[in-house]
Amino acid sequence: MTGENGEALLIELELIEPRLFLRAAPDAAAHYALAVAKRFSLTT
Amino acid sequence: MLDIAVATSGDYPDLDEDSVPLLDALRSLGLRCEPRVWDSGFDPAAARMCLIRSTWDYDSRREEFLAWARDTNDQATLLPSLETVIWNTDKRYLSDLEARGVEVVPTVWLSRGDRLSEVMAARGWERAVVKPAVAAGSRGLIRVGLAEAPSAQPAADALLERGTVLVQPFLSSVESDGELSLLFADGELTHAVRKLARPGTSAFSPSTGGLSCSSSPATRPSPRRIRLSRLSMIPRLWRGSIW
Repeated sequence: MTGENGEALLIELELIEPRLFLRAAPDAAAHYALAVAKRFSLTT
Repeated sequence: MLDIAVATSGDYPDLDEDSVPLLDALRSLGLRCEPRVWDSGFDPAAARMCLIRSTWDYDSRREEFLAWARDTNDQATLLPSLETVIWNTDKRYLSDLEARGVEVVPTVWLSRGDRLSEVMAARGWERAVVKPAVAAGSRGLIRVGLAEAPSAQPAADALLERGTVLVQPFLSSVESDGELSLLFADGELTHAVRKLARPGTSAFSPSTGGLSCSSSPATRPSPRRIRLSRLSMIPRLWRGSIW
């Protein structure tokens, strides 16, 4: 959010079930899938 | 056995529209993935990893959800981590972030007996937003003007009966600039989306219908702006979450 003095302010940090807006960015789904796959290979 | 069970809610048994591209991308990497409703026949031993996605009904029964997360974590790799799930399902995390230097929207934690009108007047807030600390989307959100604060008091008290409640100023920039979502994957900013409330609505949740989105290179904030606000530190702080 933009504060009254133009500063950037955090209103929410969604780590559990964020909307990812993947349809708004063509490459984003692949980025996220790679991040998940990386964690999968490291932890399982 | 599945590689990844993608946890969702009964309202979205096949995942929400936003998560389908992720499921497709995971499958394209050769991972066996299926959506599974977290509170209906979910078997944590039937997958090597559980990825939480569309579990948007947890807020009315957080303890049950956390018990499920603990049980799942005992039998599979939970993503995000159990610690992240516990911490991030209660907006009191904002206090932790502020203590670490992140600039957050001014937040007052309401106590029993607090008068909304006094809280707002003391801070010079003509308009404010009252919301429960445990809430998915904008559920339970109350938007209130200073003059109407006394009449909104019973609703705020009712929220307080159920748990922690916070009050924040309604920033005028919401109406002009909207709200900017910065999306991170594995600590890297992947894209940014500006969310604008449609006329006649006051919140961004898709469930309210008050949302329009745009994503373009111009939407993306400058690295300097992110650095100054110290937002860039967040992904480094919580590496347990892929987001």
